[in-house]
Amino acid sequence: MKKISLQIFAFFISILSVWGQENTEANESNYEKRNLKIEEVNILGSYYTQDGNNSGVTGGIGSEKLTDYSSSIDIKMVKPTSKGNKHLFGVNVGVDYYTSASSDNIDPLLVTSPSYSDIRVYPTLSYAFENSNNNSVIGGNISFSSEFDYISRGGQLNYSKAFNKKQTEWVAKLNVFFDELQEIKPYELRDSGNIRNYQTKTRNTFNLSNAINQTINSRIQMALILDIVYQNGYLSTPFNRFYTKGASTAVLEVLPDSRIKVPIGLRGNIFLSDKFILRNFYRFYWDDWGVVSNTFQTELNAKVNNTFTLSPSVRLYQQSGSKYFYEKNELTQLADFRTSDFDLSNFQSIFAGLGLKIQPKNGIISPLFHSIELKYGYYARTNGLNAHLVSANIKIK
Amino acid sequence: MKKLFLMILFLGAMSIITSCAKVLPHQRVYLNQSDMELSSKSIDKSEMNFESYREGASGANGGKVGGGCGCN
Repeated sequence: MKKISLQIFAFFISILSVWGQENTEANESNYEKRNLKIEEVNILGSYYTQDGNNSGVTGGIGSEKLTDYSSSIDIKMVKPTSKGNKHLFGVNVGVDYYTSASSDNIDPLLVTSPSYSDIRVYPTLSYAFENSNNNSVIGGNISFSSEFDYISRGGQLNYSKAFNKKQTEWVAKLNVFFDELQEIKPYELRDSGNIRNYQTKTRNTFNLSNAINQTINSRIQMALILDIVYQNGYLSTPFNRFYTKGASTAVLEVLPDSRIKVPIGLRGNIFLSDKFILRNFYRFYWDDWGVVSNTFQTELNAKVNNTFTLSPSVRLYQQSGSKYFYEKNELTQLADFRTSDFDLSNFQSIFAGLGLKIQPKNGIISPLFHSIELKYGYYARTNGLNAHLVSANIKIK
Repeated sequence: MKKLFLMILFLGAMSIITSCAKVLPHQRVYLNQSDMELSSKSIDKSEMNFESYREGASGANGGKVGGGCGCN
């Protein structure tokens, strides 16, 4: 973990040094240069901790204690063309380190099992071409994610076009993810001869997303987003246990091998005054596993002065549980599809956050450091799970 | 219930699009502010990630819909 952090730091320093060289050259030359230049860098870090008593690993009752340290660097680069268009390049590298108490119950014979703590690394490369003649952008990305028991390869194609004198924009994205996961079953449910020889399973996700961004007037703009997601393959969590009433031993969680999800989002931002901007989001969600949910989120951005902006926010969420969800010992006979994963149960949740953005007119220390954002949030679910999240984002321009 | 919701959504979308005022480029000064962007903020990336793990619903908000362990 320390080694990866140092590598990211070295990478970051090398970017800054390239930046410095580029500025010097620009001052010395009268030519209009169309070199590749860094437009923006975002360095993001977060700490997340949760606790609850409904772990799926232990069949719906047991510690859900988990901590996650996350860091990522996102670099946006631009290369203008002679015709006024732009090539846009992006590099994003993220590293997560997490520990999970419930994962240690997968294999109690190991003092600290591999799943107790893990590192996830996820790089993404993106490219887009912005055509200013017809107000369109076409692009794509490739992504990779790796951790001990899970590898994911992904790709995206995207297209956007502005019309109606740039008052309306249509954005379409097609995402695909091809995942491989190790089928790590609870220890007592493994074949006696192959207790640590895991089978590889596959899981695929296809997401078609369409959005219409609309300017309503000089102070309001809205977006309507419709996603259609199809997943197939092994969609269960292999190490989750399930208990029926009267049974002395657990069985595996079993979920269908396909899932269709339809989320519809509506976003509306309102410029109330020079001091206040209100950001709102509503989402309706439906899937064929029986989960129906409503999400409402609002955030007020209040400018305290020319440097500081405070952003209190609240998010309310409600979902009806999946038709495959049963609490521990609820069933007397096994159902074909069953889970005691409380993430698929019936519940409501609230997330309340407070953000602080520091953006001095001439940058922080140097004009290069454009802004720093800090945010704390508290999350609570009606079934007892609660979490704290602290995030920081440094923007360099 | 679902039909009623879809009807309200459709009527809402139609009324928004038909009631739009023309905004000239020099009148976009408020709309071009970074907090007015019609996308999620970078600082909210971790929040959206954990919510996609901890809740049955995901998508339509710029967050994850797949491609990592635990994401539904």
